[in-house]
Amino acid sequence: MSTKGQVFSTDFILSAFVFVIILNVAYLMWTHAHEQQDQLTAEKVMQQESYYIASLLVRTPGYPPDWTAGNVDILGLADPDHVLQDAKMDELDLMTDDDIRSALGLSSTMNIVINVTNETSTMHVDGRDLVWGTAPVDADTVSTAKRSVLVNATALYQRGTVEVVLWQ
Amino acid sequence: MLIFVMLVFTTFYTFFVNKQVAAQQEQEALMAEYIANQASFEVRMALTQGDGYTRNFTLPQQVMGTDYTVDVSNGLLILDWGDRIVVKNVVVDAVNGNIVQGENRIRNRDGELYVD
Repeated sequence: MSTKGQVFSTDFILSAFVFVIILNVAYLMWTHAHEQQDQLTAEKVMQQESYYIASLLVRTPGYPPDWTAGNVDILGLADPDHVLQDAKMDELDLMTDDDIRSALGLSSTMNIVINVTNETSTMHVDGRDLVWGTAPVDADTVSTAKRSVLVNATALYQRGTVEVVLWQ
Repeated sequence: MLIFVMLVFTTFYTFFVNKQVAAQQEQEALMAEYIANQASFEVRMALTQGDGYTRNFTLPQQVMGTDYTVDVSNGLLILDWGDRIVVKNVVVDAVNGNIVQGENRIRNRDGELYVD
């Protein structure tokens, strides 16, 4: 009878193979959990950002207060609080997506849609739709914030909702 | 056999540690972004609301266990933690006083921003 222990046999190769597979599965599960956590945190940050942008748009006149498309530093559409001004939306019409991103302090990787809706669809005022930006396409992360407003247009106040959609 | 087992463990340990460090850095960066967003929002809101605006706000004490500083200069808000930074555009050249970890009060007096 041999007194030597198992050194390298079929049993060993099989058990080593199973061992490596188990470690691999553990690693993949662990990596996936981290990716999920990163995704959740990124969504939280984006949700915060959309909330802040919506607040600036509907609670402030922007900066400078009488801003135009050519000199805007911070975008704001309301004067007073929660009343959107037609003149400011006219200026917003003249701004590109990059201009809007810049005036909202967004990075170039972030995209935005600003949509003023009534209960069912985008509001149509003075011959134009109140929507700006680029709609989400193949987005990894999307975040939406909504605020109720009055729209001051054609000398008549209309109830609406500002919907800010951030995506990347 | 022992060498084989140690080799496998060492390889996986290296993978795990590298991944753990990367995940930690990613979480820190997102947390710093979160704090910088909050601070820059408060500055922007104070600027756009104009004279007479006052508001209290609270920033987290740390970025995942690391102290940080917030500086506003030349239109930028810079959050610095460890050897990394997050930069946000806030338009104002400077605020009077410092934005700190914890409790802050921001005021707009005649277009000038004060933090205490």
